[in-house]
Amino acid sequence: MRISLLPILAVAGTTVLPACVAITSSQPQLPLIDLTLEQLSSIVVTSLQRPRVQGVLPQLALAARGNAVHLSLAGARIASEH
Amino acid sequence: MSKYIEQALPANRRRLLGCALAALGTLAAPFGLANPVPSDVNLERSVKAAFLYKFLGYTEYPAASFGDASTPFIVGVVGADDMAAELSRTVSGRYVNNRPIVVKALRESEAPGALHLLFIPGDDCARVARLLKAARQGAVLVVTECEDGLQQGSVINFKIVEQRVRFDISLEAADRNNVKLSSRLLTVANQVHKGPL
Repeated sequence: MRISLLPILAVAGTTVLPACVAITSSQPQLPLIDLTLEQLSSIVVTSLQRPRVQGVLPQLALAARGNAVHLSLAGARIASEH
Repeated sequence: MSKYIEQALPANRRRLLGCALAALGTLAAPFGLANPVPSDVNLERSVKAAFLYKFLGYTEYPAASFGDASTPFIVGVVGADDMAAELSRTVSGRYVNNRPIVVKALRESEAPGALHLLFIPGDDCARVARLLKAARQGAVLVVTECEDGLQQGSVINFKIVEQRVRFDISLEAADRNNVKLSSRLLTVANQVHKGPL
């Protein structure tokens, strides 16, 4: 059995990073001190608050069956079989 | 790693897979994915620190409150070193009206001395009342975060409204403390009390 992880890394890397950029670029991160009073007043600070991209990495799941390693990332399924 | 991986991959492959996942984490770090989740308490503290900094810019003090044009704003934080440290970090290198800001972490038993802003954290209103009684001197913007903060004599009182940090204002307390708040600040306040509470 030969499994090469390089293709997985390459594909996952090109999948993860653009997704992250797309998510973060829509919410530019300013220091809190540079926000206006209104913006500060609108920040949710209690328990329902979650980081802006949470939900991506928790969905990272790995499974190997036979000769295949499947990397599932945020709904995308990437497989390498040898 | 799952049992699937252990059964399907030899040890060297498992190590490689581990390295691959670590590399993914490293790649993701600049985008905030690998950062620890800030706790709610930390976020609330950071937002309040930012508000405290902002309040200085929306408050008018008598000229006598400053020795000269370079006299810094002095902000005292009573009995909460973590908040004082957060505020110090927040205002580091910042100026308000061309004045730097100095943050003092005060002990409860310590006389606050000359301050421009006094923040008394904590939800114990009896403690707030006691500290306020001891602190009354000069033109100082007093900010609290206990339920009846304004009734105890505070000028601005933080509260959590719909999961957000908001603040109420007492104009009577502002007059009493010889500070004037800008109308801009009043428009953002949750509630503005004009008369006695």
